[in-house]
Amino acid sequence: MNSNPVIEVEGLRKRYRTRRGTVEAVAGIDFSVRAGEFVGYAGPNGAGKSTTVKMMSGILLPSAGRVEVCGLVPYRERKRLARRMGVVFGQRTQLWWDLPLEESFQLVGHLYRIPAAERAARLARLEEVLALGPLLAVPVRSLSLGQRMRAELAAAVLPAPEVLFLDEPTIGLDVEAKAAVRDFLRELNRTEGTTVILTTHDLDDITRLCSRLMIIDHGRLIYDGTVEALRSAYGTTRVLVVDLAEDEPVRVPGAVLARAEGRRRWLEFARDEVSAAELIARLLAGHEVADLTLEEPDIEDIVRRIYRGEAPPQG
Amino acid sequence: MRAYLALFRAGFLRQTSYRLALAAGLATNAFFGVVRTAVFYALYRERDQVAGLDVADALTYVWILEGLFAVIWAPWFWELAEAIRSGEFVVELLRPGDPYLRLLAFDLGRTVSVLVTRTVPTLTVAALLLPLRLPGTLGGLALLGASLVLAAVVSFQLRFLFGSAAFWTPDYRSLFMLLFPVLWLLSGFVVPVDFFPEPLRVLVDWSPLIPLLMAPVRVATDGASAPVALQVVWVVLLWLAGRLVLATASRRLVVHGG
Amino acid sequence: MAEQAGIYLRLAAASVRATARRPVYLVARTLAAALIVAIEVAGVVLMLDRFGSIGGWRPAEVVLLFGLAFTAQGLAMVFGDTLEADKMSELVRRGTFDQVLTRPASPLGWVVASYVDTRFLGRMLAGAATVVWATDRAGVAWTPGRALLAVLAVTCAAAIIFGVLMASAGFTFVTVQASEAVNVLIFGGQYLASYPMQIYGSALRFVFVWVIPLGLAVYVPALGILGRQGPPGLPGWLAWLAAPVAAAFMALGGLAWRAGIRHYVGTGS
Repeated sequence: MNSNPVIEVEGLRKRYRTRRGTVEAVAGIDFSVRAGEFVGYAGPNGAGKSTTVKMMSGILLPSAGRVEVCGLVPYRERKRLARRMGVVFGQRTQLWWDLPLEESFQLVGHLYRIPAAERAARLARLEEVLALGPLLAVPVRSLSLGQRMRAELAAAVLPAPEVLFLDEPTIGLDVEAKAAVRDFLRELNRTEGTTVILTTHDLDDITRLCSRLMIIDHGRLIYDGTVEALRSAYGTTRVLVVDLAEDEPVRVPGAVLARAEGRRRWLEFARDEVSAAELIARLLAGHEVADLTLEEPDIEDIVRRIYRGEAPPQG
Repeated sequence: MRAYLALFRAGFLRQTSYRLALAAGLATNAFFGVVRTAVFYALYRERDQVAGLDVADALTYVWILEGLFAVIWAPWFWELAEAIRSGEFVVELLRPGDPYLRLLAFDLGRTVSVLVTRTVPTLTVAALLLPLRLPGTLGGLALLGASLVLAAVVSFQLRFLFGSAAFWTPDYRSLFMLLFPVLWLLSGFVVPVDFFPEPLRVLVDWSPLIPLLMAPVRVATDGASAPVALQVVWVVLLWLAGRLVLATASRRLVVHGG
Repeated sequence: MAEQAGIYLRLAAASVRATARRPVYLVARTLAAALIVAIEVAGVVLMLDRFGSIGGWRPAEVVLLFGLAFTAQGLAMVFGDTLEADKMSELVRRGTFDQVLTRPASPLGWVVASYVDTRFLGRMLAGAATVVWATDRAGVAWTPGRALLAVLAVTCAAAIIFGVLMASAGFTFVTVQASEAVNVLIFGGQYLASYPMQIYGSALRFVFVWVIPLGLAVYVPALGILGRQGPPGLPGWLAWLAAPVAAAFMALGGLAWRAGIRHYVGTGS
């Protein structure tokens, strides 16, 4: 792996002037990403994820600090950087909506000045890997979400970008489509060494794809480390949400009370210490329960826990 | 009854919330009004009267036109046809009460809001700066006001009839786009109907397009009440046509399932 | 550089191909655009025939102005329609513009090329037909010099309108109100320039000859085509200024656009 960082961010800030005063969407973050890393970028809504990505891709001017991508200053050399990076937005399309898919690929080829032979070769491989063959003549607007996402990925990596920014690429996809997208991204990162920044809410995306995870909240980087460290800290923790029949204190061996509101209790327990079934049995033995559900930890949970000081800031 | 008033109010409030569009609209009205005024002043430099209209009549026509433009050619025109096409409109037909009156109440709320926020200010400012021929008595102004509101009603009714074409064809957009310019001209929004050659003018005078603009203009410039009567007649006729269309359309929906 | 132009041409071709997928709708829109021109001209003729003349100009001569103005506006709108306030603000609101900025291309070129609207060809063709009809009615014999003046008028006026569109789009990034106001100038200006300039008061005349020089671009060359003398203050030789003035105006529009983008990138909407 090349030791020169592909992305370098130092003291990055972004301030917005709103009616209520100045808001700091990004309040001083530092990180650097080496070539070939697969980085997950997570955080609650409004945390500053898209603001950071916009500053890295050159469509937003930082208020302070330094950012360099592929050795270029994004907002100053936007067009040059655009040739070396790829972007995929989960909700919006970069393809040409009313035209057959293959025309989109042709246009991308011309736009990024890919020599025809090279384009044909890369496209053939991408078509095979992403099963796009039967879709080439279909107008993009007629594709299903899963099909369209595979097509977006192909279009984004066709120019062989050094860096790929992905914004919620698996949102709204069914299980099969998600697997296809993840497999493709994993292979891409492995074989071509493309640096990937994956912004996502999906914990599965992160655990299955990212070697490194950055969590941002309120404009600050609150976690930057390996997924392993995070997984060992919380990946095994689940939450049993219980609606008690009576408002009474709850004591269940093997579980920790995380939160209480009225008659509802959130009980955290470690997956490998006690099974859900066992925990429920223990609970029912000592309390009358009106209703219960099981929750898997999500980013908001983890963020909350990091704020409570339950994980080291660096992995 | 209260439901209709509530709908009227809802429409009124909704339209008044579009403040940006209002400012831009007023600017557009003012600009075109000024150019048209200059044109008529230049035209009337050599002559006093043409086709029974003098310069004061012409200027009154110009500024009532600008005032009424957004009322008659309502920018929300496509909404009904789209609601029909998307299937949303079926809900309206299934609700208790009279769907036509409900649509009218809501639409009138919107058009009256435009009358209040655009038409009246435009006419008032123009009247203060130019020698318009507007009624001088309270009764006369009330009659003009009634005529403007009736114009808004007829506008709704015609828009309803055109929009209901969506019950029968998906290509309504193409149809309307070709029809509108002609309607524009025939209803007097390009030149006063009085300037049309005789046979065409007679034809148009008997059409439901007169209530849209020429009727209020004639109420103002002639001080006559006959145009208002004509508007009322067309309101009734178009209402009957509207009921017929709704009945046919609902039957068709029931048979074909939307 | 040639390669750059190539991608915009391809984008424009792609956008035309996309609209051609609904041919009935496309034809109807194009016909409707032509029809609107026909209706406006019919109205002017109906009016002027009643009065005989306006500002000393015969009906056919005024219709020539209408034809030139419509052709110019059609030409400008084929490319610049998306730069209008409401369309640009929707691009920004939906996030589409952010995507445009991630492309290795000029944002202006991309927006203009990707949304070429062929229905305005209808306006152009109808405008050109109007010019031919008007000059025939007015008894004008076409010479190379007059043809050049007509082309000059159309291209310069189109450039000015496009400049206004660029400025309007630039304002959209800062405040939609300003761009809506600017929009009035495009359609209002075209309408105003369709009548002989001498009918307007000096203030209006000044604004539309020297500030938004549509009057200069349409009226003065028309004087040459019709073999007329202009009023004092608008001599025929001003026609030679039309091109540099239009170019300068377009450059100003471009500056406004670029300033708008700088603001957008700086504040992130």
